[in-house]
Amino acid sequence: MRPTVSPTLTRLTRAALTLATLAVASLSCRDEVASFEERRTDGPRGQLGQLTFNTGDDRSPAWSPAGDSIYYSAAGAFAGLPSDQGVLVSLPFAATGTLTQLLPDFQSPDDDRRMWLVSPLPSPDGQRLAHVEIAALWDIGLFCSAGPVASCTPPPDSAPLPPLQEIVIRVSPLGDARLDTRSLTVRFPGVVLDARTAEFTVHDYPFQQLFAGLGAFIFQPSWAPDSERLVFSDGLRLLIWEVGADEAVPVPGTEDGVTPAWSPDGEWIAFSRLERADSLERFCVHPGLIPCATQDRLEYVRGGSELELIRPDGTDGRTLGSGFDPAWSPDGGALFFRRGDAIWRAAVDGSGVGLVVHGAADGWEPAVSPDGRFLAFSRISGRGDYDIWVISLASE
Amino acid sequence: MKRASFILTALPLLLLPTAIQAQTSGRILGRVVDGESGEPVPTAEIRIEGTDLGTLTSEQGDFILRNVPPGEHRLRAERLGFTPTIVMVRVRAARTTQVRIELTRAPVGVPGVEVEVERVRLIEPDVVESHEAVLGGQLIELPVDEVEDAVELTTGVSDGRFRGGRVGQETYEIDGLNVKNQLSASTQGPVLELAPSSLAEIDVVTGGFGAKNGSALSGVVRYATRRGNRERWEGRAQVTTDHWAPDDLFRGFAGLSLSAGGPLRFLGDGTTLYADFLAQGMVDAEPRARGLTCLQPEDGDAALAARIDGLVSDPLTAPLYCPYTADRLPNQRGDKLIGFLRFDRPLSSQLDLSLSLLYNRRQNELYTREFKYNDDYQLGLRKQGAFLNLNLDWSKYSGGKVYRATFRGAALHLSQFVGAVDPATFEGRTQLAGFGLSEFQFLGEGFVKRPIEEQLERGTAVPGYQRPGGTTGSPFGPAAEGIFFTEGTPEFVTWGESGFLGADLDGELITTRGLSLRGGSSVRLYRIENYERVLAYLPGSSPNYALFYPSTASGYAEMSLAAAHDITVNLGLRVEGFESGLSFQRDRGNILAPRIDSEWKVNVLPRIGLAGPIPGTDGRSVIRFNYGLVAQPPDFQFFLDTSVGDSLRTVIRRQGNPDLSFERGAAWEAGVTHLANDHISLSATAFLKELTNLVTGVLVFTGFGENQFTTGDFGSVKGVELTVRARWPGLLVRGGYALQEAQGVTSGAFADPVAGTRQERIEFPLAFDRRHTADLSVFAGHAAGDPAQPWGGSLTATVASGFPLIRQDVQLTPDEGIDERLPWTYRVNLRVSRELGRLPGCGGCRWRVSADVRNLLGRDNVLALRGDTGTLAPSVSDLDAAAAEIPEDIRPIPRESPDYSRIADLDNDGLITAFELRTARFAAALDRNDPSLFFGGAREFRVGLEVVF
Repeated sequence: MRPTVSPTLTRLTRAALTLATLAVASLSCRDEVASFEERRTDGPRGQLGQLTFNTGDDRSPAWSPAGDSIYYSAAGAFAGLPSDQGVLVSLPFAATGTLTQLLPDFQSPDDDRRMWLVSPLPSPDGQRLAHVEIAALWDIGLFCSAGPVASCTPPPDSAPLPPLQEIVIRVSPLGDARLDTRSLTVRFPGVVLDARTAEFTVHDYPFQQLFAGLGAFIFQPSWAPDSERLVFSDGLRLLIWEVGADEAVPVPGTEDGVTPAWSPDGEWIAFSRLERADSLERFCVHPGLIPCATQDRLEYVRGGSELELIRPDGTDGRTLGSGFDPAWSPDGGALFFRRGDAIWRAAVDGSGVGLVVHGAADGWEPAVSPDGRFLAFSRISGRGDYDIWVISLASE
Repeated sequence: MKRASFILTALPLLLLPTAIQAQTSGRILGRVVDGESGEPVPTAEIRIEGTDLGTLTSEQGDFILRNVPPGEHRLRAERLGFTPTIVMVRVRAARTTQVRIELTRAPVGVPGVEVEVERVRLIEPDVVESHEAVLGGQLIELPVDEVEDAVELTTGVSDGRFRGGRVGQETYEIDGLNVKNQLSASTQGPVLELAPSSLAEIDVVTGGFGAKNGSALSGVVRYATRRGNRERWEGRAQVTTDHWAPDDLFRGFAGLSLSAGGPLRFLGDGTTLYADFLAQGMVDAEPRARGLTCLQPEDGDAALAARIDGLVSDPLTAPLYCPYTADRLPNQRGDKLIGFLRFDRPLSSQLDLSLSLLYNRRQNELYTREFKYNDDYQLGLRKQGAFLNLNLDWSKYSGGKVYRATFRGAALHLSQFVGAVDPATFEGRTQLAGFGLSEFQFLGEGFVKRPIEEQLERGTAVPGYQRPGGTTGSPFGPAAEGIFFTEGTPEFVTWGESGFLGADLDGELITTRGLSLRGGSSVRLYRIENYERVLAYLPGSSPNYALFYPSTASGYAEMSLAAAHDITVNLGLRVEGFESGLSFQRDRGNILAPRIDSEWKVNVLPRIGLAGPIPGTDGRSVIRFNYGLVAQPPDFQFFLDTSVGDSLRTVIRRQGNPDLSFERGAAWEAGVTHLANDHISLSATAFLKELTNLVTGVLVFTGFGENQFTTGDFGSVKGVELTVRARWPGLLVRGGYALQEAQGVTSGAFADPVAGTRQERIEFPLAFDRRHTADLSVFAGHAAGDPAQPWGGSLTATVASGFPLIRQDVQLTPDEGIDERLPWTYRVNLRVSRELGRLPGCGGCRWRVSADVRNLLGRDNVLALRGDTGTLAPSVSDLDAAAAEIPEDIRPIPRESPDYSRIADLDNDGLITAFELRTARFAAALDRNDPSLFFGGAREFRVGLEVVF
């Protein structure tokens, strides 16, 4: 016998089904109250032109391997830090996003380890980040007692000490620059302390004057394509450091070589060779009750440097003409470099030299994006500080 | 013929509701007599039309009908040899209605004569108290969301305040059982909430309540729940939503109401079940008239207007003004759930069992201006209530007397949690049209519910809590640091749980001569647990925590008798006591002071009431008079050190006082009701309340003693109430007006947090001194009970003058008083429905559509103003002071900085300078003072579909 369904149940079921259908149809969710969306990315960010506006110096741009961010060192962008200190940051090269600080701990105002961090450089495989820590600069006051000025000619202020004393090249995982670091300490030549006489002698080499005068990061390292080696300069030559090794190996034939750049195929190293002059002067650096220091000043031709290529083993050196701060195009066929007051481009064989005309005037530290479409560089703004700029190479 | 009709002069005896509240349905106790001889008519058949309720009269002509649903009924009396007679009887929940029916001898077969008793419904000559009853059928026709909204339609009730009293001076009864939120009624309301569709009647008493009612100074709200139909199953389903409304009326409301009830015959005749379910989802749980608004030039003084004009007129700064507004408030999502189940079964011919279970949950985010731009964390609230009520009702009818005894056992549990909503659980919960199927989860909820010793031992911050801060995320970027918290969480977490196990025992004797004697007792054993931690993100911050077990007990005796000249006299005496269950140091400034145990506080409260017709008016005018002492235990929260949230949801702290005594008062009232004609009655009532021992309302920061809750406030409320009731076929109208003055000595009037307490004890208007209120409710068509009309409509309107505006920094004197008040408020709600007949595909179903409009006129009612300026806006100097917090030599913020905000970079040069920061901070401070919460309800438009079977 077929069970009978209660009429009440039938009505209830039908009513429920009807209402459920209507409810689903009617309760299609309308939008909730939208949260405020901050319009913080309008303006030139992500467009070509000036990328950073920091009132401190933004220097030594380097592209991420994917070409979506630019790494650079920024000075004075963060509250609580003196304006002359730099931190490493990355900035998305896109329509959104703000910079990310890479080494917050090192820059804590209360941290004795605080250093001046420059030249962040991601490895080609995207696994590592190299950067340079500029340790304490030379300060004669650490060695000599202050005393009355006796017979200094010219006065000491016009003959300061060469600043660079020591840097540390540090390599760390790209994701967290505080972990698992490998480092190499590089001492710059030129300052010799005679412990017996308490005098020290200073040779003010051109790289020191270039650093002191223009703030050029002559020691900026460059990755080999294998992401295992770095080439850098100690001011008087290039050296190759196999990351993790205790010492770096000099590259023969690179005297006075600075700002090296390893080619994408690993076959060449481009660098700038500073030109020396012959004049030699002797200065009283810091007179006191007893003579404390003397300085041998070695002049160089200001702005004079040659762009050269050399094999990593020091062979097959070639000169490409005047130039400074070279950067390779991704295909290895061209070099971008500073000449005069602008950024130039030349083929590796030295041919096709031309000025990068669109917006790269007064540019320093060129860096070409991995896809070859953009050129990042630093430039002194109207306020007198360096900012990062990006231009398109498509029309060049 | 006239003899066959109701004898109007006998009305006081014929309809005598008595004041016992024993059960949720009502009783009719009556006597049938021969209209000519006055002799009893035995074996007459008595029947309530439309129900199966009926009986035969005894040898003395008496009868009793039990379990009569509240409402108006046609009571039919028939006996061979008499004309069948129909009497309209209004039965009220938990009351016994007495009726006397006179039959006229007539030949067999004469049609029944319907007796006209409209006047009985318009005046109640025997009712002592001042009350307003709303039947369940009307309740679901009203354009209200909550039953509290229906309570507001009582003359003298406004914003939860009864006759000028403070919120919490009223008590609530559910089916005769007192369920007041004894922990925090003055700040959190009743917490327990019923759905309108679960109620058979609401009876709101504003004066003259009898000795049975305690724990109240100003009013009693009696809820009578609905029980299942004894004869057949019936049900109702309704969907209401504004998801169809145009954008400017869309508030994100969706509601589903389901109810069904009927007989369970397999458990015996008369056994019924009723179930009711209500679910509501809300995108904006508190829609405000202006939505998310900002200060307008006219909201402040001329100086502010000039500054706003300056911002707006400059194209560079114009984007800083009102950067984020919306029709609705953000971060107000929430939902409500109410479930109700009631089971009724007669255990014998004299004993009835009723068991009901109620659960309600309301949860929603709480919009806070300082977290307006915080995408991660918002403050939230969850309230839950559960109530179990067992009711055994015994009655015996013998010899013209009714003997009754009622036992009620109940368990109540209320809980509330306010804290930072856990975003991980909030965003991931399943919801439909805003209704979440799961409870809100709060950050650290598990931790703060751990044993307090364990929490103190760990000494950690509440898990998940973070220090509020942030410099980005708002439209003003770093300029708004400290003004808006775009990171971190709200600072505090607080939760409380309260509940009781309670028992009532009532007895009653009613005679057909109009005498009734009542008595009873009540006991409540409470468990209170309360937790507050203000700096929850801070490790080591200490919570205020208390677990204690207060008790209350009461007893009463009352006599009601019909005296000479048809005057009804009520005499009652009530004894009420409570004990906080805490031990405490009386001198909190001395850590070595001994701890003492709290003692029982006891009050004896006489109550007297008179009612009766005015001689010479043919019963068309009746008078009432009441006097009584009233008292209520203070909210238990005042025993504890507590953080008190004000209307702006800021947090202030106050020291608890476990030695508080009763809040007390004395109430007088006299009223007259006049039946103007058969359709209209007018009522006027004058009342006076002397309130003493009120718990102090406002903080005073100086010293231990003064920073403590006391019962040092007192005052008086006097007023006049006028009520008009009118009734025509298909139209019901009720209007009321109340004029009242509440003067008192209150700490709120002269507390100065900076300078300390002034010593004068001067009377000022109490904070709840609302002078004028008027309300109107109209029912028409089928909403008025006319089933022939396919259309139905109901309209409610309220007009009220503003509360006193108590200004900060204003030195008050007795001569000056307080002459500033908030603006008048106006509100009109309308509901229109149309019957559509039978629902296709559902043979036994009928359906109808409805449209609900709240705040029909779209009034921007102002509910609050700032105490410092007396306007919606702060002073320009305050805003400038906020802007000046930016140092002039601050380092510019470059575009690439996470702190950068495009809107604050006025010249778009990639750098935000100090000047730009200060300009943006001024605008941020302006935005922070958005007055959204100062406004009343928004206009809402909902449509609904209802199916009944």
